[in-house]
Amino acid sequence: MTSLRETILPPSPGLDFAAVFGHHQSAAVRAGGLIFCSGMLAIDPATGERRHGTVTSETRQIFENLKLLLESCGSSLDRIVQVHALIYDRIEYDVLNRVYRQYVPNAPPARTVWSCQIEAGLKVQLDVIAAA
Amino acid sequence: MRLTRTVHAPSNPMLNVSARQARPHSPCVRAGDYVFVSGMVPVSPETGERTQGPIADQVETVLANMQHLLESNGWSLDQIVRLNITLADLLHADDMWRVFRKFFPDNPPAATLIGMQLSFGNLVEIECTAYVGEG
Repeated sequence: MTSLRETILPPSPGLDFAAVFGHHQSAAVRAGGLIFCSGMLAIDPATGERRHGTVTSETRQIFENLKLLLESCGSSLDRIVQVHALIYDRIEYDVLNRVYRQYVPNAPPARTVWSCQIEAGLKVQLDVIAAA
Repeated sequence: MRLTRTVHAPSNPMLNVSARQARPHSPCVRAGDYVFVSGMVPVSPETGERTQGPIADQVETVLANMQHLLESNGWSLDQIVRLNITLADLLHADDMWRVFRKFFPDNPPAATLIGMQLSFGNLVEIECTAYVGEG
């Protein structure tokens, strides 16, 4: 059986996690009509530079990057089906919701919010599955 | 392949937490043959309020509500393929599994258990993915 799993090329140089960070990962993988994205962080999509900021600013950057990534492979933000929203501290739950809702205003994806440490001192990471 | 994406809710409006509390998520989303369920915390089906009692009661409430959500849409607990269970205190794991076993007596789904702080003093939050395809 041939592989029905397809890796998605990074849509811009900064989102090439392997090249920028040396991480052994693909930006996203498509299988069975779903797109499984790597954990998305607040990084400059052109340069790969980390954009440390507030939960609000980091979430905005992440959604901009997700938009680039998903639209590059025929999907879009409104095709997201599941999100694990990781935040560095539970106390920012409402802050996350305020900015998050702007990017998924209608029929939003299923979501679970987890609070945990995030690499490089960033405050937000989104783990996303979208319909292709 | 372009899968159809649809949003689904529980029949009981008291259990539609995102609608009642204006949260930016849907109870569950179906894409193709998979259903992705948002993290569920203990909520009373009568009042829609949080029901914070002993961990066993909280797990019972979450799983009963998850069963209701799935069955409202013609699905069932035995279609769940994976669960992520979050406990505010991993010392509650044994009590959680004891209740969990009642809901999944045979061939239980894959499950991951993690411990972390939860919102509003909840002791447990559970999310799942179900496969609802034919045959």
